[in-house]
Amino acid sequence: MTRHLAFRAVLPLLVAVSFLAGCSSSQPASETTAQTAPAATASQAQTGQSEALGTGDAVELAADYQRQCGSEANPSLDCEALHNLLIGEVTVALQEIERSRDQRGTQEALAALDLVDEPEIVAAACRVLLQFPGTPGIAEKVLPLMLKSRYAEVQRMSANLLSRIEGSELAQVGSIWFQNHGRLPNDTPYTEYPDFPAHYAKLGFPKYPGAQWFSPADSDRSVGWSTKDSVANVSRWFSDTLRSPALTGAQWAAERQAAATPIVDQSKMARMQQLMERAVKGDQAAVAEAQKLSEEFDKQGKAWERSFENSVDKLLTNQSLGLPEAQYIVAQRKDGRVSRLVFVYPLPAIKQTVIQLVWDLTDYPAAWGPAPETNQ
Amino acid sequence: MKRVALSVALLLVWLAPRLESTAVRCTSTNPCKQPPCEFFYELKVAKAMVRVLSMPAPRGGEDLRAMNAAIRKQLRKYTKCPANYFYQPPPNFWVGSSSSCDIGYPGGAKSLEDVLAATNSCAEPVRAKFAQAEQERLFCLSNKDLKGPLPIGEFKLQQKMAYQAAVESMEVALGRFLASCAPSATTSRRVAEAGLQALKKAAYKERMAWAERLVKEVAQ
Repeated sequence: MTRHLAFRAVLPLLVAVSFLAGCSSSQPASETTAQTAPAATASQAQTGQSEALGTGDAVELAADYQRQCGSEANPSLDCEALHNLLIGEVTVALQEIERSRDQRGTQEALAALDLVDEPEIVAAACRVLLQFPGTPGIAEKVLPLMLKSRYAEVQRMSANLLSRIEGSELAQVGSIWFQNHGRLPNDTPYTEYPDFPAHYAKLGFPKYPGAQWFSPADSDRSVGWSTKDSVANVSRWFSDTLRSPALTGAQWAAERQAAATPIVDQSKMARMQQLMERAVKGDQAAVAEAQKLSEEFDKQGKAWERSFENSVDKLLTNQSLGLPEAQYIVAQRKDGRVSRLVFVYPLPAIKQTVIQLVWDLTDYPAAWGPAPETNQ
Repeated sequence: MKRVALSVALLLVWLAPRLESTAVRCTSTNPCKQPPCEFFYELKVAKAMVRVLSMPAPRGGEDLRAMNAAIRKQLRKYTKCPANYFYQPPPNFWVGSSSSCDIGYPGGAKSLEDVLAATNSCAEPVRAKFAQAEQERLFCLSNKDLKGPLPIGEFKLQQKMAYQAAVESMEVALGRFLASCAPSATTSRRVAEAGLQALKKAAYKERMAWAERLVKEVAQ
């Protein structure tokens, strides 16, 4: 009897407490208590997973925006605000479509690619399509975006998507963009693709007549151009202009083999071996000398690594593997390095010849990204 | 009767910590529960501000404050978060003008954890606001060497990066949630379709022409 009484006394208190705590179906708890958090409001709890998240009355917002702001030549503050919110609504909706893995969403994603001046939407649409790269019509839409968009993130996502389209010749163009742009800054979706580096003119590369800027061949140490002329004609022109032979891939590889491996002083290696043998027998003087020599090797190794990181070889190592018809024209050598290089290769998928003008970051500043390390 | 009184007293002791204000994790995946409307409200405001700061129009702090107010006004109108008695807007942090550019905490708190423990809000936007303040602090420190006022372009860039820090903070949490609790695409598709249609029709003819011209150029 007493237990019943106690329950009756406590019941109204529990009701009151749950009301004070938020009128929700479950009690909010600390963020560290995953089991009980979060407390959805009653109406949200009813809709459960069947309704998409946080969409609110976005459809109404879209309709009002179209009605109120569609024809405004100079948008009011409210229209600007609505526009900004609509971008957010569509972006979040595309993120949810992406996570739902619902293939029907490719329809909206493809349509979203038309909003070329809304990088956040285009990037979100690309993420949806990345799950279904076989969707017809992707390549035609993303190729122009990758080549011409003024936003770095749009180019990046377009290249990513293009490189994933199996069986498409254009996939190679996307892969080339990706290989070259590892250090491209993209702080926000609205970060613009960088202009030509300020020091580009001072690099003194000859300008191939009629060539057009080609972003996939840009990198932290190169500027890309393209032309409809053949590889043979282009490489001959550069070879004549720079008075330097055009090397084939095999010739270039043979020349660069030495640069691609650290130089090891054989006499020091032999000395190290002797010291190690003595050290094993307990010779402390040998241990000290071996340690000193080891530090010297380490220092040399790091210097070589820095030099390689800054070199034209670093950029071309992976890329040139898939381009057997490429030609290499050395424009400048310095201290055993190739300081400036003209790299010419065909891209049959877009019927263009690419001219990649590359420089060593030890000798010249980077086009973008962090300042180059110097070989000190 | 004494036992009843004792039971009530014990119950009150047990309940007392739960009545305190404390931030909750709104993107919990265990169990999968829909994050509240308030979470998306903050995410969308921050996203909108990143976009505003990327555009040429705002020419100073006044413009930005006006735009922020307009965005919040419109978002309140359309988001219509269901009424509840728990979720409050996340409090603002600020960066002091001292040489050390210290972060100021609301309500006399001394740390982020203090703020989280004393706020009826989703924890994610609180953490996002803190990430934004941390970014602002870094800029404050780097601006100390400047002589004269910060150029407007630099001011906007710094503000944009700070808002972006807030966006990323919330998107990481949302991404984890969505990855574990895959939502239905039905409503999202409807929203995307309506939004895209409105955006395309509203003064986008020139841009569409640009895209079509590019497609033709590339095809040639």
